Amino acid sequence: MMTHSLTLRTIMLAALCLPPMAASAQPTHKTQPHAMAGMEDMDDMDMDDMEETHPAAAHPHSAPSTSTPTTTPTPLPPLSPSSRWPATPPAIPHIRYKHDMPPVMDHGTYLHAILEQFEGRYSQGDSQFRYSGQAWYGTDHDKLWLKSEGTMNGQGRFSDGDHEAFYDHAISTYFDAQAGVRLDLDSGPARAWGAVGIQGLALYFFDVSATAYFNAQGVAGKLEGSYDLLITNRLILQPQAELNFYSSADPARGVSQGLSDADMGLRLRYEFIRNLAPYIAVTYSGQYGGGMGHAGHGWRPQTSTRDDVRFTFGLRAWY
Amino acid sequence: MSVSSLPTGRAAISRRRLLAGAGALATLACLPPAARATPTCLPPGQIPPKPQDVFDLTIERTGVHILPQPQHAPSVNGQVPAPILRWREGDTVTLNVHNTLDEDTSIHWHGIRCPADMDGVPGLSFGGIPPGQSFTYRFPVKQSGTYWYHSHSNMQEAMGLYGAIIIDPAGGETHQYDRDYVILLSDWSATHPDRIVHNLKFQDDYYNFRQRTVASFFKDARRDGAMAVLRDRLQWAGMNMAATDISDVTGATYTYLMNGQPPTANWTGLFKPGETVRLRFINASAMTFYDIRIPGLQMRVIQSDGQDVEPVTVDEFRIGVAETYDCLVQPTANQAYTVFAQTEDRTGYARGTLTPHAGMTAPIPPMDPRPVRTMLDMGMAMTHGMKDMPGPAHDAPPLNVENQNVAAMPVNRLADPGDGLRNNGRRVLTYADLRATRPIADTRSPSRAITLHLTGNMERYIWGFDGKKFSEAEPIPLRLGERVRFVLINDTMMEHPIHLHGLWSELENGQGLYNPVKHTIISQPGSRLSYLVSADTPGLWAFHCHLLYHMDLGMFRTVVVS
Repeated sequence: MMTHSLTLRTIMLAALCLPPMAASAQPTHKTQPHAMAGMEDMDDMDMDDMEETHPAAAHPHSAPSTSTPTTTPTPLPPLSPSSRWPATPPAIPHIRYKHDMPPVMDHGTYLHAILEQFEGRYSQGDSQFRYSGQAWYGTDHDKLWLKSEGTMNGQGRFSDGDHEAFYDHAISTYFDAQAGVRLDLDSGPARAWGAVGIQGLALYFFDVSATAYFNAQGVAGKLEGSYDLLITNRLILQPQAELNFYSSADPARGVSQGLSDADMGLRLRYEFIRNLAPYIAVTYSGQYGGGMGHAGHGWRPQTSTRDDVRFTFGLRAWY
Repeated sequence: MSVSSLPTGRAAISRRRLLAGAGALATLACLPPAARATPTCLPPGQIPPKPQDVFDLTIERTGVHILPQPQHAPSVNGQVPAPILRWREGDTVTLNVHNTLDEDTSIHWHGIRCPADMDGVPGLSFGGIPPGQSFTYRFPVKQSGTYWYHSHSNMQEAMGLYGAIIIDPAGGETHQYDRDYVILLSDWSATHPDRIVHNLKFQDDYYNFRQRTVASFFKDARRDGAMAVLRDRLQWAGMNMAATDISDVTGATYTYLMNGQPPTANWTGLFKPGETVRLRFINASAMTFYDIRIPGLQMRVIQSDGQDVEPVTVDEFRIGVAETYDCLVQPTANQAYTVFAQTEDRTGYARGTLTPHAGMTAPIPPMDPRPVRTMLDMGMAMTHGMKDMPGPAHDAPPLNVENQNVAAMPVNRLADPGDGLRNNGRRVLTYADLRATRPIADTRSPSRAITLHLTGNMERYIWGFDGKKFSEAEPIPLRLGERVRFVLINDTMMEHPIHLHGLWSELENGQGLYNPVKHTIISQPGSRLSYLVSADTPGLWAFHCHLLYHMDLGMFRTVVVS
């Protein structure tokens, strides 16, 4: 099981060196001599537990299939250009599809939405509700991307309401660049930010995003990351973390300079069906520095740092 | 229909015997239509008694009962699969296709060499068949063998619009046999194909419930050592790839059908011991490769993609999507045999029975272990002469949004039966075994080569050639009359059945003038292969991966012969 600090560090590392990792990944990988070991074999499976079999006895009248099936590319017979059929390709003609109907429509638009967190967080005498979700609509390359998250405490106070809208553009094999706006809308005073960031899949299958925000009062940053650790094919442990940084304190919103707050979870979900999975979790939210404790946020203590660990259960759903 | 009238003796010459009674074994969606003369509704797998040259085919939405829950599927004359069409080489066939659906439809004659405007791909010299309208296909039949037809519109092919074509050779059959069955394999889901694509776009391994897990780590570690297993897993994860990525769509949603029947329905073909039976295997699946064997029987492969090949006796063969293989089997014992078609990913199988007595069955063998991808499939083969290996081709595609990998060292895998079939103790057909019986007609050397990398980004579920999907790429121009070599380098870690419409593909497998002629060629992961094409028919032709969702998400090009 991953510790929070490990998760955190890995995510931050991953988030910081995303593009170079993604760009240089494949070609530099050399085959390890022992990489083949064990790879022909069966793996765990949910459905059946079939044993590896390598029947030794070949069928009579038949030779078993060759054991070294691969060969290096053999040189092909030469091409023979002639004056009539030159080796140069012809000019690419302009073609018109009948009824302007391309034979395949590979430029479709898709609508997806995921509610990653939809959960009750409990501790003695107090409960919170938190949600965090994203939705996106568009093509493989360009999308409208919405994100929203927030926390409701037992008294019905809505805090940490963070709502973002982005134009999203795919920039590399696994990463998208995003630019848009963020609105902090909750029971506290509203704030508006411009936002730019990247989001995608770092190597080793870490889901990460890093976003920078700016407005007249300063700049801010948010790092998010999560990882799906498959216990079985349906039971999945997901460490997740979100860190928020601010260049200047905003006491009205309980924001302090530097690392202002963190929200983390270790969620164990069971995918009865892929897109609907209940989970149990341990969640942590922390407020750091001296920026909070404003009277408007009565549930926050007046100390400089507050750590809040809770037992949580919820539902992950996507469309 | 009730009792079968078995033939009373072995025929002296090759001819077909029709078993009228086998229809008692469930004909599923075969609803005898009232006012339609052709073709009649035969039991699945049964070839019509004689060829015809005029057909009326009505495409309609029909209730089918393949799964416990009834579904509606696009059908031809009320049948799913569509009726078997029997033609004769040398005839000019006329096919009047009527569309009663509420969307456009089309029929493509797969592997049939016909004029471009009869090929049936909407947009390419053909406008599709709008709702309520008809289209008459008419073309001369200049070939013989086993082929098939399917819709090229929307997702109709994935939903059941496919059927077999049998063409009698003008000069009579090469081989003698007593019985003749079509074995049409397909995959069937209660989930709409658009929804399957939606799911794959969200999560590319949505249908893969056999991934490596913490639980399997300990099992593997006991066998191979913890460090080796950990290193292997980190190596795959470090590429954002999964060694368990065998099929995009699996038995988690698919039921696998033989002649339209699920394994429980058990399609049955009758024989008398000692007879020779011809089995015409057609893979009409949307997304599934099958490995076919008949435990207890050897199969003599006599045709590949409708073309005669020197007979090869095998225990097993792999059939890629859209390929066809014809085999002869000679069961001598008075026993039943299971025709077993397990999927490449081993998440399910289609199954039928050859039996001397209706109702007699044979055991269903256990499925083999499913394969696990290796570095060979990533195009990083570890061979002895590695230092001498050529590096990646200079025209390798970039790693970009649409491309996840470049095969550093693509190898020739024509003699490789494929992942999951090596060293299984059985004689498995490979592409290197295929040798045509007639020399190729066009003996000119090719004047140029067209190299195409098969690329994709599994994570984003985008497919294409050379790092581009169809809508972003130029067409491939060919001069009418020229002869070119297509070189396919597979940078992905999956098999792709590549299909060129309208022209033959002569696979360069080392048989020289007797190279096999195909319409669909499996490109194995991390491999390089080549084939020759004579551009002898003008027009716009489709060139694509026949995995339906790969095609629809970009692995498609227009080839222009002008």
